[in-house]
Amino acid sequence: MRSKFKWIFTLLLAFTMQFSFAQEKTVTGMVSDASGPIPGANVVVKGATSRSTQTDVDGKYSIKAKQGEVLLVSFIGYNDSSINVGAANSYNVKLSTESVQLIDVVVTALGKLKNKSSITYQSDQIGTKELTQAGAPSAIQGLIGKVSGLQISTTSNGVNQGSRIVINGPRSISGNNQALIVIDNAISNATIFGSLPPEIIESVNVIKGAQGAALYGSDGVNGVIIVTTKRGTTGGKMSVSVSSSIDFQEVNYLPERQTRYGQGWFGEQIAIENGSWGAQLDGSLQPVGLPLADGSFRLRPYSAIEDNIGQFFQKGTIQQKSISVSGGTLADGYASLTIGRQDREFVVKGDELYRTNFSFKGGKSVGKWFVEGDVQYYNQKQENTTAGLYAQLLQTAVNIPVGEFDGSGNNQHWTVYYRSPSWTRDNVRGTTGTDFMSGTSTLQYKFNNHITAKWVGNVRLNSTYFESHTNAFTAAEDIYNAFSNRIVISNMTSSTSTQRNIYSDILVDFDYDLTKDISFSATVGNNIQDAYVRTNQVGGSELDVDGWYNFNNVLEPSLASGVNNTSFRSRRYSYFASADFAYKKYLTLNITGRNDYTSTLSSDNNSFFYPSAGLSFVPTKAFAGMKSETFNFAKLTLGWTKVGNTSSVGAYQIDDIGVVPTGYPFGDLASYIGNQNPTAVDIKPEFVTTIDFGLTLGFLKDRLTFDAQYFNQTTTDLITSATASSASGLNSATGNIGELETKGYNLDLGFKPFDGKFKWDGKINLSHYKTIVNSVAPGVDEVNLATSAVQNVGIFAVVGEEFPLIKGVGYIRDDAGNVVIDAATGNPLKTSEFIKLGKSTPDYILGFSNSFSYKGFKLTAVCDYRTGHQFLSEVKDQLAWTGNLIESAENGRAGGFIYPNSVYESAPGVYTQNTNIVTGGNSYTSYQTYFSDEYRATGENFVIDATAFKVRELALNYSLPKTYIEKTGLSELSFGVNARNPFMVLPKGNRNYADPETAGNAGPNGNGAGIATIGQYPNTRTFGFTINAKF
Amino acid sequence: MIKYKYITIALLSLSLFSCDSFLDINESPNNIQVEDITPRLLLPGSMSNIVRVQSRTMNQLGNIYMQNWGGDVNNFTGANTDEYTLSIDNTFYSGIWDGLYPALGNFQRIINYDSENYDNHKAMALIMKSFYMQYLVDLYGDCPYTEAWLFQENVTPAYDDDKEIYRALITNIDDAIALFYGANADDNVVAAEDVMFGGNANKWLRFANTLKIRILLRQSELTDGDTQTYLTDEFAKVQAFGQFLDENAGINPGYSADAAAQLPPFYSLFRTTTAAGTSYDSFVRATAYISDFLNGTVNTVIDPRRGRLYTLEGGVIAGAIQGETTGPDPMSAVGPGLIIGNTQDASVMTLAEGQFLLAEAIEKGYLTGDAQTEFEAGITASFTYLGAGSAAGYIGAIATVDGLGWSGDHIESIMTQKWLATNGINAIESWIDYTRTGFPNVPLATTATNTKRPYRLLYPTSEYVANSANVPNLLLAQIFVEGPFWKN
Repeated sequence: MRSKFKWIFTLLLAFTMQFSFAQEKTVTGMVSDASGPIPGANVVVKGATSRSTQTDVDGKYSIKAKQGEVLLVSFIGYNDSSINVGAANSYNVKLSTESVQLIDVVVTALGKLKNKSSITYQSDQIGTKELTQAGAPSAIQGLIGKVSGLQISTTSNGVNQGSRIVINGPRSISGNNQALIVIDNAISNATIFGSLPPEIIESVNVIKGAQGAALYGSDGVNGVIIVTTKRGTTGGKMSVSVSSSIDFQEVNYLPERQTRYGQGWFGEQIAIENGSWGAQLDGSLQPVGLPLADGSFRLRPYSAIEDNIGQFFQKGTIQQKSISVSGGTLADGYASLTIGRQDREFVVKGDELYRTNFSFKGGKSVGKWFVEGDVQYYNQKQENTTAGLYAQLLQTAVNIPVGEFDGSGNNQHWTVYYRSPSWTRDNVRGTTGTDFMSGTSTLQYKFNNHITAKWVGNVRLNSTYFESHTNAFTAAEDIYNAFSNRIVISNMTSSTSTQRNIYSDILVDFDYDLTKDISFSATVGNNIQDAYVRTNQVGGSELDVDGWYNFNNVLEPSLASGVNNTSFRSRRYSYFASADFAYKKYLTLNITGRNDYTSTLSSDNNSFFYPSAGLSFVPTKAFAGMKSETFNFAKLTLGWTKVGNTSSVGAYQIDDIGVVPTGYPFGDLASYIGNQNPTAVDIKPEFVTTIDFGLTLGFLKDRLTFDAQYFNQTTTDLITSATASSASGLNSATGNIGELETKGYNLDLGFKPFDGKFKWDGKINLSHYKTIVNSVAPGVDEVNLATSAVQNVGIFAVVGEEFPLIKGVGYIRDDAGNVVIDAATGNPLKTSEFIKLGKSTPDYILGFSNSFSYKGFKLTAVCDYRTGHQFLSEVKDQLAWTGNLIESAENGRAGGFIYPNSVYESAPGVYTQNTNIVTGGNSYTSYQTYFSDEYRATGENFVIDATAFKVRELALNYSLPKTYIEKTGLSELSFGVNARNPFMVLPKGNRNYADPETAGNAGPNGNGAGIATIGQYPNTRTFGFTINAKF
Repeated sequence: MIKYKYITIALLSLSLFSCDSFLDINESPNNIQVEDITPRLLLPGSMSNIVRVQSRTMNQLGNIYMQNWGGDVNNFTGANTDEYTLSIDNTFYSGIWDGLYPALGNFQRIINYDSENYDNHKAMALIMKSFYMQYLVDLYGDCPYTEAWLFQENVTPAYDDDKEIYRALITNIDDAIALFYGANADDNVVAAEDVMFGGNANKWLRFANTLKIRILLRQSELTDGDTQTYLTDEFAKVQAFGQFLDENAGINPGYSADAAAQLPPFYSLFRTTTAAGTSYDSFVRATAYISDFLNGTVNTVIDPRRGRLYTLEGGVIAGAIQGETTGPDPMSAVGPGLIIGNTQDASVMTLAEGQFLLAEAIEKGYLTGDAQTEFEAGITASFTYLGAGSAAGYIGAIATVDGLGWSGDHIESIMTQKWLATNGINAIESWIDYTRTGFPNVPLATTATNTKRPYRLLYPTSEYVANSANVPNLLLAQIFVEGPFWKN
């Protein structure tokens, strides 16, 4: 190790050697454009390129020069400018733009500011305005549909929505595939990103090219989202901004159900059934549900009530308020404080979330030093019931007045077979409280114009308590309850979890002009990470006193093995280096290398190195004749990146341990048995190798822009948990098995048809990728990732097929594609093995966002369209056996039906069109049995088209003209109305069973996408108002 | 040059961090280390875990296939469809394979344990391994054996010939007996960790000897000279020891209602910690066939065990025909002789089973003794297990009933009584016996799509997914005509 340092140290010394000349003085100044300072601009002494510098974040520069020399100031996207050094020591310069869009300086890996055109990979930056335009309750939701290649799926609908963030498809079968989130230069996670008030975010830079994330190493293997929070105001004045919004949330749609037959079973109306297999609805007065306390029945018309299960849901609200105070400049010192508050009430009564954020950021440059600190704190409390109640709710016949049963409890519920959803809502409860704090400090020292050292340290502390309880229920002793088993034994669990993450980066940046045309910059650094989490839990069943949820009240405490008493610690350190060579500002080569050392692998395998290289070329700069008014910009990038990844091997995972068998210890008898799901001790990192190609074009002064990215990423030595032959004594074994390959492209088209008083800013993006499993373990063809409550269907990784794949029992078809039915029983024939039923990756995702502005008005709309994929709907399965499926009622239920386009095997190999063989027998009973048995046993019936067109955001904002508000002391005042998710279009096969996007959360690390579970609330939409004011 | 000093200090302090001890933190504080797990710690969990598969999954399949259990047709639809229609696929009761094999691995860990001082523990592990491995062969035929339980060293074990495995099972038991006899003062004494016999070696030897009879008798329908010579030789050893199971062999680590996981595995199918019925309890009901059989409708003898095996409705067992969607209302549930209490043993082999094995071995001339005496002792043991009072009256009443009492085909009588004695306790044994002997000839469900029960099960999905190179290509049609080696 030390030998490596020696090398770095020598290098450092070599670069810091400076020769001083007499008469030189320090010239300072600021480079700016019409809208403010330009960071990252080049300042070079003409004819002495060894003397050059770049402007800092405030656009300030400082350079040694002699009187009479000329300073050349340049910046991509601007016309060059020159300064004649005279007697004065300070010169400010204002650059004029040569084009409109390409002036962006973006925050790249490790906080380095880079000019967009020297970046050797594709990335996409979204600013604060675009994020918050429709009052998104979190920045994650504000990103949906706006960036190509970035697939954000809302994987759970609830008071605290869950999201899955993937850039350019998966790279691992069972490891983490979600993008890294970096907040203010320190790595973080999506939960924290989602908890930041969107208003405090300055920019979000989505690094889509693997090369751009290479310096983050293992953490950045799935791409990086670099989040930068606001620093304060540009003008240096103190300013206060206040924003407030309220959104109303409602259920977007509910599954379509048949409205022809009511509560009952086998064709009879029965008041206590959970099925809709009753007689035809006729409007007559009929008993509904279990008898009331006095023994009488509710008598209600036996007729359909439109969306009766919708009566269970309420109108939710999301209220957000924030106040920010900021002022100062980097040079003089700045400070910025934001306090935010969010209150959510979900469409399920009692599901609530309250969060208070406190965010402080401040910094100052003092000579060669720069210090910045950043503290994020939030306190959050979430209360909710179990989403499992949705399954209870779906077992409701269409004639049941659901609203009337709110609070009826289980004893007077509408069915005797299941618990009441409103009872569940009120009696199965959980509370999660979080105190989170993240502190980041940055210390930077500028040795000279060429060398800067920086330390970024971050500590995250997360303390969470979780309490849940279930109240007891004992069925009343009456004939209706005698045979039912809705018994609930009360229980409670209380746990606390403390998590601490320490992160440290030490970076040394070098910047030189080697010749007049060649500039060189480099970074060497070290990173250290330490993650620690400790969880303690108590709990048990049989609470003695009702309603008192404390461990003292537990009569049967949980076994030690059933509660959590764990701590996990892992550490990692890395050395890395990055070098950029630029030729005449149009050709840039970037090379990186990183070596990781991790505690989670064995000492033989815990050190691994990986390199990357990227090239960018700007032909419109290189060839003067190429550039014209119509074709103003072109850039090509090429990248090759290799990254080692060990994210799927957690702390202690390779440790050979014993586990506690069921029920132990029994009294004083302890026992341990072998671990049946071990990880190979000699497991190695998996390596992802990516080839990227990017193209950026600008036309008509960037009124029309085009971005394209092609990528091919191959993961070798995949760390995968695969089913083991049970005969080996194991259930599964995790090792380096298999290879996965993803190819895809992203296309972005930006256009501004109108750019005057009336502005129209449009963006269309298209993303496509295809992931193929090249191999899994020797002798094995597939890995099962997830199973479902639906029979005979699951999610798999299959060699030679797209990943993830939906496989299950399907129908047997003849060559013409007709379903073959059994001539004797009329049942369609099913495959004996699992066949391919679908894939959960869309063929493409099309995003479409537009904004129109005129005077103070701005109208924005964001939509996206995903198609070509399928998902498994557990809701449809639930509807099938409870008799709510439209298909099970539209032709009546007096008997079976001729299966559409079916054939039967009239002689071996001969298929004859079926015109008379009836499927589903000849009675109501046999028809019902067909649906609850045969139909449900065919997984294919529940795999449906996942296509969806969604309008994600619609917003209209109005900013009052400054002249109107100046006298009130306000500098900005705007109002907005917005809608999120206002409507979506689903294909015919998806009768509102589920939002396909929620089918993304099964299997290891959520990689077994494709199952929309029944424990998912229906999709919601919000409508709201926002007001922003700035003083 | 002061600035270089800073850098040097910074880098030096980093290099201090980066020594190997910084990363050497990967030993789990949350779990026991495998080297600390001695056979003393392994044995109880190995036993109580594997018996869960027998008490629950295997027992459920046997009870449904052998007409003991059906579903409550009045309140549930689609009851036991796969079992009734005989639609078998690679997921059908895959829990038997996927449960027994990994659980057997724990016994293998005891056998492999690198110490000379655990002979007694190793002997018990060998016997348990033979006991459950026999069921795997009986239910699947060829199985991995010689390459099995190598854990991460071989996750794709090859298959062995089922007959060869059977021979090895007897060898295991002989090895176990030798270990018991060879154990000396250096060997750790087995005490509370033996959750079946409390460390009593003689009880283990008796159990082992009876297990040998079970293994040997299973092959007794084979008429080839080689097998018969082998059986004669092996039975001579059984006879030479001359002691057999003399009590119910059951596992009990200290079952209690203190936690759901501590309930007896069979009991917990039907009752919660508060003794309330589970939803499975409200689902399982008697079949019409068993009702008629025990109510005396079939053979005029009312079986006194009926009120112990089932709850009586109007004084009789009320059950629905397997496959029909209607039946009497209410129907009989599983009775108090089976759901005994929250401390009941998890049955491995009942005394009744042992007696019926003896009766058959004597009847077939492999052992000496009086077959009828053992047969009647088996019935008595069954009555005792179920708490059904004296069996004397019943034995007298069935004496002249062919195929039920000691009359007519004695093998049929033994199998029929074993069927009744394993009802709800170890019904898989009865299905395997049915495959072997065709007795008792209980009907199929009315919805059956085949004319007979399968002789064995299909290999589970896990083998096709994880061991596709080795798993035999076994078609659905084959399992209705080809059984394990002892069937053909």
